[in-house]
Amino acid sequence: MAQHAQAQHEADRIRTLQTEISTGEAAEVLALTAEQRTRFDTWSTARLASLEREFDVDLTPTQGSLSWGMRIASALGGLALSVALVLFFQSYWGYFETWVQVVVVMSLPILCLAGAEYAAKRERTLYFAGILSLIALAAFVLNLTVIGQIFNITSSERALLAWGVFATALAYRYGHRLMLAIGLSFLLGYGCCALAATLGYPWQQFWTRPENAVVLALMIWAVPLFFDNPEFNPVYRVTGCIFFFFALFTLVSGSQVSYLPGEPRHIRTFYEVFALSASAGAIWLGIRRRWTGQVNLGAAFFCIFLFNRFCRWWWDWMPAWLFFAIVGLLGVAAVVSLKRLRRLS
Amino acid sequence: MKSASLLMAFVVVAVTNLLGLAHAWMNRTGQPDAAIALTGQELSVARTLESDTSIDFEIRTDAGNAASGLVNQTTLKHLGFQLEKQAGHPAALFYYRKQPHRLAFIALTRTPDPEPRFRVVDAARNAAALRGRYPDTATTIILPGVVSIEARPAMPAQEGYPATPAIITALVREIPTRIHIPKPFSTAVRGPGKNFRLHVRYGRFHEPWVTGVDILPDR
Repeated sequence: MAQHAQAQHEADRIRTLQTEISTGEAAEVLALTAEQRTRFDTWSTARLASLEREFDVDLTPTQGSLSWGMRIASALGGLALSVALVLFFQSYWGYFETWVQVVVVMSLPILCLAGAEYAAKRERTLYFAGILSLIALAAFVLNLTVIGQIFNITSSERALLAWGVFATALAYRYGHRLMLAIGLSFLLGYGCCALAATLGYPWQQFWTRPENAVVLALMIWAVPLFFDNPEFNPVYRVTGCIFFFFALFTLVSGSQVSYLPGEPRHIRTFYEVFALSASAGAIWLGIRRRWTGQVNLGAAFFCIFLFNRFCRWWWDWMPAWLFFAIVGLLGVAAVVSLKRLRRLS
Repeated sequence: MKSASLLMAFVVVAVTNLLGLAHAWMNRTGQPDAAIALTGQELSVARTLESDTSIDFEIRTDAGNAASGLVNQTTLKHLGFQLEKQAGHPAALFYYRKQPHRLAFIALTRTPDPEPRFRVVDAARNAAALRGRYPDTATTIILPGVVSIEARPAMPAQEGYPATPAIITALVREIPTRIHIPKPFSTAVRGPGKNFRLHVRYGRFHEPWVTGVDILPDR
């Protein structure tokens, strides 16, 4: 999938150059001879055809829009079929003998994997392989859940590890970003539960220690620093940011117990300052490195944390209309400031 | 890399299923920890969705409510809780809330009155020691659970309710009380209004399996 992204970038650059040479101001500046123009047209046409043949790149904006639509449709289709699979199984499994139930749930993920592999061999764009891999993941979740229910096995956090490894493996096999995000979510969940269990706490209470999630989310965010994969780097960063800021939000709300010593209100204040600084830092770093997803997430959570702070200061005593008016005016002031900053940079 | 990923996916499925089946087999081998007959009144139907055709029951317990049997300080200290502050201390609420929940084995004994259910009577970190204190495997089951501690402040007398002093109390949660009923036993108990007795054994991992069903005359 990384090669596909690079091929698409190359195709976009060639098309832009074709357009500029034909119709833009560059046509007057470059002034190619007829022979040069012919050679360029021949080369660019052949190169685009080669990229389209080998990597199935989009050659027009319309094709690009349709490709996005296909990705969304395949994700939604995969999710819907996964839900259908689980509900269908639940509607009939009670009438089967135990050995039939076990064989069916154990076979389902294997069959779906085989189907995904067959689809991948037949189709370069991997849309159908993506759908089948989502269904395979749902089948594996159903597999372990049903085995646990049949034999009354006490629930354990280790199932999250199995699902996370499975989803991540499929993500790398088919270049599926959504699958990687799901896999990382499972693995982070397992990490939080396992950390709680290692420290002697019940794994089911993992959410009472969001600081564990803060650390693990940072580790996920840092993976691209050590293992570079242009196709998946944004997924690691965005997933890490989402969990990092959500965990910070629970700490800022002050509803959970912290590892830090001190009074709850002092700890909450510390995390408020830390959250605002971290989200501002995420915006700054994202702008420097051109990580659009991180910039957007940092901005969104900065607003959430700031709004939370304003609520604590003013909500109890200020009329609601005045509160929202002040927040709105501060938003306008922020836009004006950022516009000036943008002009200066 | 891609072939290795695919192979890893297959291996994960195979290994986890084998481990699950091995776990279930090991639970059922050896001497069972308890062999108990549960009546329909001691069970409630457990179903995630209306369309789910499996038959699962939950043992009725008083878990989730204040477990008075665990309030004695010796038990709570053995579970790892710190009890340095009195219940009425100004900082007691936060002091006890900050203490992490503890994993423990919970002893539940059947009580017929006022409603047939199982009541939490004791807890310990060691299941064998707990079974030693409650050797009757026909009336007491031992299950894993989570114990938390909290301080409840004194409450003044209110309309119809007397004043209550500040107390330290323990709550027991996350007890796996669900029992899946496989075929052919599920056929016998499927449908509303059935009066039955369910024979259940608990294995070395304190996980149950059904060994028989007796259909009783209608109440």
